[in-house]
Amino acid sequence: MKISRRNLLAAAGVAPLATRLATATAAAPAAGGPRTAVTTLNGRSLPFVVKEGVKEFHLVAGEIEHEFAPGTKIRAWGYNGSTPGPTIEAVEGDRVRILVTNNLPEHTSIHWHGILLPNGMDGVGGLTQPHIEPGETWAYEFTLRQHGTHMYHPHADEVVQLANGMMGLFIVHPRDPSIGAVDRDFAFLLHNWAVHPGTWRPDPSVMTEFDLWTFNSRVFPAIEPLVVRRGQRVRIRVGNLSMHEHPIHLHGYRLDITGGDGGRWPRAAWRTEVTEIVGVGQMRDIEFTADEPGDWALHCHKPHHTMNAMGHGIPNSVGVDTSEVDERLRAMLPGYMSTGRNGMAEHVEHTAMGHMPGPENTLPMMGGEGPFGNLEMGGMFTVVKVRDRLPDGYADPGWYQHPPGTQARRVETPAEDRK
Amino acid sequence: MKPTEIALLGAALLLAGCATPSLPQLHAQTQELRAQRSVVATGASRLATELAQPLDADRAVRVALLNNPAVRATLAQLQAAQGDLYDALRPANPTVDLASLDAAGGVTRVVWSVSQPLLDLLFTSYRRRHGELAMREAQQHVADQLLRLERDVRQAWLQHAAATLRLRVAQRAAEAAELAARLSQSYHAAGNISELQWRAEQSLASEAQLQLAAREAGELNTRTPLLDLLGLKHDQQGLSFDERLILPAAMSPDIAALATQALQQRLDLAAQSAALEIAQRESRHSRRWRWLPGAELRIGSERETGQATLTGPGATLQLPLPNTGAGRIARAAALVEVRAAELAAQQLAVQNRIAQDGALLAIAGRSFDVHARKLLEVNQRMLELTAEQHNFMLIGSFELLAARRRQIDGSDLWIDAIESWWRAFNDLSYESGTALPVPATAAYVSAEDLP
Ligand SMILES: [Cu+2]
Repeated sequence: MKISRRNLLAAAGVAPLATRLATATAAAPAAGGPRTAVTTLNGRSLPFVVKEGVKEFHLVAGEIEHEFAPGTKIRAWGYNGSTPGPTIEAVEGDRVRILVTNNLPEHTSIHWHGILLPNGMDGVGGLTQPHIEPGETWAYEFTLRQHGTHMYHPHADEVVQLANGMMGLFIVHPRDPSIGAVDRDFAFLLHNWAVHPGTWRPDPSVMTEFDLWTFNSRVFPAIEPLVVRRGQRVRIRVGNLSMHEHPIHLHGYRLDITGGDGGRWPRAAWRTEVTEIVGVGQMRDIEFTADEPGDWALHCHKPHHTMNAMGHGIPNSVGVDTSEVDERLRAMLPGYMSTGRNGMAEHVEHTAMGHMPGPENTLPMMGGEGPFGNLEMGGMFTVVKVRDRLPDGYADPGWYQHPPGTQARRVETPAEDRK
Repeated sequence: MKPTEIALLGAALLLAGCATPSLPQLHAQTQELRAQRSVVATGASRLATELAQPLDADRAVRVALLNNPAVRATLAQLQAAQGDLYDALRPANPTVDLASLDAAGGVTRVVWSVSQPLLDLLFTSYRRRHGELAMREAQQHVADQLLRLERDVRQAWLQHAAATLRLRVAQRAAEAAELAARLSQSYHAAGNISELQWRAEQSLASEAQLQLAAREAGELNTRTPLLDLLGLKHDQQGLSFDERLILPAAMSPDIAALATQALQQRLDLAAQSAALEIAQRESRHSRRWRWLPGAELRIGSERETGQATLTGPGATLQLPLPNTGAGRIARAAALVEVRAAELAAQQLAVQNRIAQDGALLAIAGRSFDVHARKLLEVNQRMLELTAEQHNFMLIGSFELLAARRRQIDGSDLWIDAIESWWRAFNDLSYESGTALPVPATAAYVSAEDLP
């Protein structure tokens, strides 16, 4: 079946409704008492209806338009109009039914990654069920026997469907709301994308050399900040559906690693880290108490994962004196700028200023502007914003104002001749 | 080309248009052609004027007509033909026999006679027509040689102009390669690329320099044949060439019409037709008068001392035995066959050439319009896109320079396409016996217009 316009609209039409209902879900006390709803960065939770005691969700797989950050849009595949698809939130003990409609041009299936369930509900196309053919709607139904951070993704033509962005979070809250209670509960999925410069569809053939590295299919500076009130207990749930492991690092705090693929760990099993490697197909729960206000960087610690597309293996220009040929090069190549002799920061400046236009639909390898200059970041980078007061709720409060005496200061300026 | 400026070619083309000119017309036309010889001989100042500006194709044709030594030789053929005509219009001079015979006793007999070959007297008009045909054949031959020279000059000029543009292309490619080599040296000096990578760029630069030297030789190799045709020495003062080519324009001449026209107007065909007609007349003539090969009319007198003078006409007849004249007749008939076959072969060749040149022109026009134009556009766009990638550090400077070199090299194919078109155009123009109209909306392309 080809994707029709109607199907696409139907898939896209789910999104606003889902957003509204997600808000309602967050406000409404779930079974077992009030608990903090998950904040899916740049995302939302999937609404459900209760039918004879069963929570019924509906996922619609289809082709979508997706924006990584202003300047780069692609044709991706996702659920209910987005990648990642909406987060499924439920409570331990819930009976859930998840309807899956396939509006893709090929068959699919959904695997509930990490969820304990009967084998026939595991969603491995060809192994535990026939594939879901285009146009079909299938129902998965099982009772949640655990709590923890989990995921969902297709288990059919995985190379294509994962590369195209089909994934989502599946979070099961403990029935006892006091277990692991936090004030802010964030979640995002790590992913990699082969969207080659100048193209607008992911390339599923790529195995290692990806162009974009994302938190919830967004790159910095389009990834939402994690806004927290000082003193709040914070959890960050991270799942990895990319092809690389990612050392996720948060500045400013010692992190409790409180859970993993099997759910929440007993207190004795927690580890204290500042960087937690999230392996491929793994989930990690990271918790801390936000007792130090400020703008704290949260990012993958692989430097190339906090960058957008860049050439690999190209001749390194650092330290190369090209002044002898620059003029002739410019004559031969109008618009040519030689940059990089002193590092790439100068290059970032030029691309940020638009002096050096790049390929269409392509983000510069580094960008983002902070209160004190270029951040020179891209990809898997965002900011945890801890504030004493949040007059606008959890809306982005802007940049942190450092109290006097709490910020690094210049103690010497270069002599005139060194400037 | 302004026709008035090319009187020679004008006269040549005029000939092409004439069917059967009268003898006075023939003389007038011959004088006109010969008059150009004096222009050629005293054309030093005109030559200087033409050479004062860069030589484009038209100017090169004018210079060749003024200055090519072969033109003098060609025109001298007309003088020889006029001599032949003079001979043909006059019968053989009469023969006078005079004898004085002494006998013993003081007797003297004086005998004299004037004799004239009989056929010469009978066939004055035959000879006149024969002479006209021979004269016309010579004229057409000369005029055809001039048109052929024009074609040769245009082709030689074209080859040289294209070779010059290719030389300019190679100069740019060599510069791009040299820049890459120097840049790679800086990268290596900074410790960022290996000697191997540096040497690879150097090697490419050396290859580009060798290619440049080959192109320099190519330019020289096309310049000398052109100079020969122009009648100029290699060190001609102040000589410069217009390095631009006119861009081909869409044209689809009616090839069948051109072929028909060629059969009527090609001067070499006309000359061969005249030669055939001469041979036919000679064959008929030799058949008709085979019995009178050596007939002579004579008038004479004989006077002997003391005797009356005897005066009277006489005749000599050659007996047609044992030579009946059959050999002469057979030879003449064979010559007719030879001339007819030569004409047929040339007519066939002309038709085939026109068909071929027409097809070549169409191919060249199409490939220029569709592909060569696009090639430059696309290469330009590719370089822009490559530069964008370079701007975002997706590729390195050497890749960018390599893309630039590819773009430069692409110009060669573009020049090839233009040259092919003009070669076909010039050939078709000559082969069809008519000057095809040069594209009216002529746009020039020079080295500066190439990437
Ligand atoms: Cu990473």
